[in-house]
Amino acid sequence: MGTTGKPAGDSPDDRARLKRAAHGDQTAWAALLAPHRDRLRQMVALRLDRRLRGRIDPSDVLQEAFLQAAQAWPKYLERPEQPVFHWLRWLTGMTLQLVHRRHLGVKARDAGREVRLQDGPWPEPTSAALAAQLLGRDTRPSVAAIRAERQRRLQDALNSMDRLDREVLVLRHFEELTNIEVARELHLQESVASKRYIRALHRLKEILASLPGGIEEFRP
Amino acid sequence: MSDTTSGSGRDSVEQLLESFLARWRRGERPSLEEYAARCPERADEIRELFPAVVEMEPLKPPVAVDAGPSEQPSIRPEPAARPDPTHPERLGDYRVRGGY
Repeated sequence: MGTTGKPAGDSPDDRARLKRAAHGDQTAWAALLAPHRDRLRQMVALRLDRRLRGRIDPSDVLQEAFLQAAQAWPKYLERPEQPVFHWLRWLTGMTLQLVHRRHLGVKARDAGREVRLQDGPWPEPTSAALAAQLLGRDTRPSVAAIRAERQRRLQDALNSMDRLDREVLVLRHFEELTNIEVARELHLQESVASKRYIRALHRLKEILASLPGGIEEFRP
Repeated sequence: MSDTTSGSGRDSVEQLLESFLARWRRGERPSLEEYAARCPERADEIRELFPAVVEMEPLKPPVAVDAGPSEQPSIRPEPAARPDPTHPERLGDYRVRGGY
């Protein structure tokens, strides 16, 4: 096993666990994964192709990603160029892409939209998925038609947003990444990522306010 | 929206929002006015944006409360099972819901 480096962005606790995990400490390995699990599962839930929702459990995709991580761990430790979270997120994105190809074949390139933003392997969440999240989970038949129309209009509005701004919004809000993590993921300067987030929030607020019923309709 | 930035070049409101949201997600309920006071020249923007962001918090995809130990494989796992076409409810490492 190679020596463990000190990738920028990992906490001192993480670095200590890295060293212990490098010597086969299973508890340290589990402790390294645990803080990242929820955010990675959010990523899968949001980016899983809509045709696979209800059939593939995001937890199962994450399990496969962690299996990949366990196998690739020694190689990562030889030269840990990025913090553990970003390495795990990259592996999870790769795994999700494989799942799409495995279950959708050539169709994985259609609605799954494996659009690459700054070399990331993860599929971009569609405006449809984002609109569905913003509209909540009210499935009452009495509101179904209104909801469908609102979703269509919200989707069109989200499509009009700058793609990178939309991705920053998704990463910050739905995946709960910090500014520095977004900057790393999208290869942006921290100052640029920061300004794009605020710009995207203002744009989103305008979009929501412009829909029938205004922003009040989106209050949970 | 005025362009107030910190020494790092980050938008000041964004930095405050990151701190505010981190506390909110930990279960704290920080005062909006406390944050507005930290950047008075953009206080109105903070009063407008922060509540809107907080209102989006419940709209995230639901995360399972406890995924259990199955998501934490050993450092030296057994080889993953290959897809078995004779068991359509299970494809490799995936449980398939509702069939193909």
